[in-house]
Amino acid sequence: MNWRTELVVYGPGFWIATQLVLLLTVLIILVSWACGLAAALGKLSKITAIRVVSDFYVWFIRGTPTLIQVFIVYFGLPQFGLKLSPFAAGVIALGVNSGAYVAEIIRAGLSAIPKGQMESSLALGISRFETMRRIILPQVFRIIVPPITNEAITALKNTSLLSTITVVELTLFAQTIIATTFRPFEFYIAVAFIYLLLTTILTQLSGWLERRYAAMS
Amino acid sequence: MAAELAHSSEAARSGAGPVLRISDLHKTFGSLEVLKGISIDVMPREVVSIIGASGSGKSTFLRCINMMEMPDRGAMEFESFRFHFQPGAARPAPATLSAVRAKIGMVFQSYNLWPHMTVLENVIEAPMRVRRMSRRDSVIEAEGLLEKIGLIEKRNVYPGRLSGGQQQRVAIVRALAMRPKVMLFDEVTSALDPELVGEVLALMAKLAADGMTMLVVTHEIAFARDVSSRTIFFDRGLIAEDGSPEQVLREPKSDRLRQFLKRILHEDIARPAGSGDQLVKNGRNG
Repeated sequence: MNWRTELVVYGPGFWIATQLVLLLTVLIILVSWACGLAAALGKLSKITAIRVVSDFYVWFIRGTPTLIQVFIVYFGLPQFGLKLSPFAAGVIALGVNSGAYVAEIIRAGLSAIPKGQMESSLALGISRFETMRRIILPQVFRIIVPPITNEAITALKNTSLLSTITVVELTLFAQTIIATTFRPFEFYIAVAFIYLLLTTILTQLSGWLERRYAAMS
Repeated sequence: MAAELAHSSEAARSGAGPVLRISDLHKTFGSLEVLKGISIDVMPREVVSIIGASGSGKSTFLRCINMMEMPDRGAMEFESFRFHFQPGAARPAPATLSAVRAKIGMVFQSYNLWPHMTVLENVIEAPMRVRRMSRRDSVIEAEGLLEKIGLIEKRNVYPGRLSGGQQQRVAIVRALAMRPKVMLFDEVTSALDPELVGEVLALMAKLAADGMTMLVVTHEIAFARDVSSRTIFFDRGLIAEDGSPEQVLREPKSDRLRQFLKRILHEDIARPAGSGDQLVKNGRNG
């Protein structure tokens, strides 16, 4: 087979696998932002229990291998009657994983906002919630664009771990082809370049956002 | 004064009792008692300058009035609100805090404009969120205020592009947009370059002339003398002297105030030549 025929034979499969990676990444990022924001605010909570849970979450996730977390969710939870599809288990495990890192990024962003920003808003009678939503978080968001993009890139690359729990994303798809073609080098290189293309797009997006925000200040 | 900046007039003209009545206010941070029993009645249209060394409790006192800091003990009356502070007592409900703060404007030393919003957005935010005004009405009011302080052409500019003096004037307008009954100024010119102090003091003087009730923590003795109707000297958490600017500044009763004035006026004169604004110059000559 020459490369043209191979492209025709395997191309559509790669395209579908790539779409799955993108879908996984988007869902994982959404879960991670929700978990990360909750944990970051939880760490600042006045209620001790919420603070302890948030601290434990970040400590546990950052201190254990991502692959083990994926296994716990996919292989471990069914023992307690919680049987998830590989796809759902993957989104939850990697989303919760990434959320711990996002929490730290948001926490650092929050602490970078001068205290006076919140005070001047509260002093006008604006509620604590509205102050967070309108005054503090938009400023935090600008600061954290670069680190949050890095985290999104990590989340994207981590989807390859889901090949171990039978999600047919790029890595597992390539493995199945390699099993019949016996040409690991070409196909893994192909996979690597697809990841590279996706992460480069994310980096560009981040740069564009940064420039846009710089113009708005 | 052609254009009125203050909206405090109605309560003021009724000429009734004090706008703000504070008795025996105490505040402790850790083991440090910062306020040791402050009592003061502030009448409508009164402009009270509060002077004193750093650490004497002036700023803490202002921050207790709008409950940015919760006093430990004492009482406060403002409009229909009555507060009795006691250790262990429940904090006022968030809605009550918001209602009080909405009517007590505060301006800070560090301006604290929101950098991600334009000048206009800074000014309309609170009227829209707290007074529940429509965007349209808020903009009309805000533009009117910006017009009066000569910053209307900056309405779509971000605060980072303004000078410190312009930022502080916008911060004052942002507070005025809530139509406060009382304005608190916490060393609002201390962070400014000397040549920018004048424009901010001039705006405050205009506000005073328009009848706004003001409490002004300041190191600008000239402002205390020329603009305020009453001057208070804070010393170690207590009101040490309280009277007309002439009384307090010209005939200080205590050694501590005399020493304080000497120090402050010395610094004033030691300023680089040409940096003094009109108010300060007047003060030095007169």
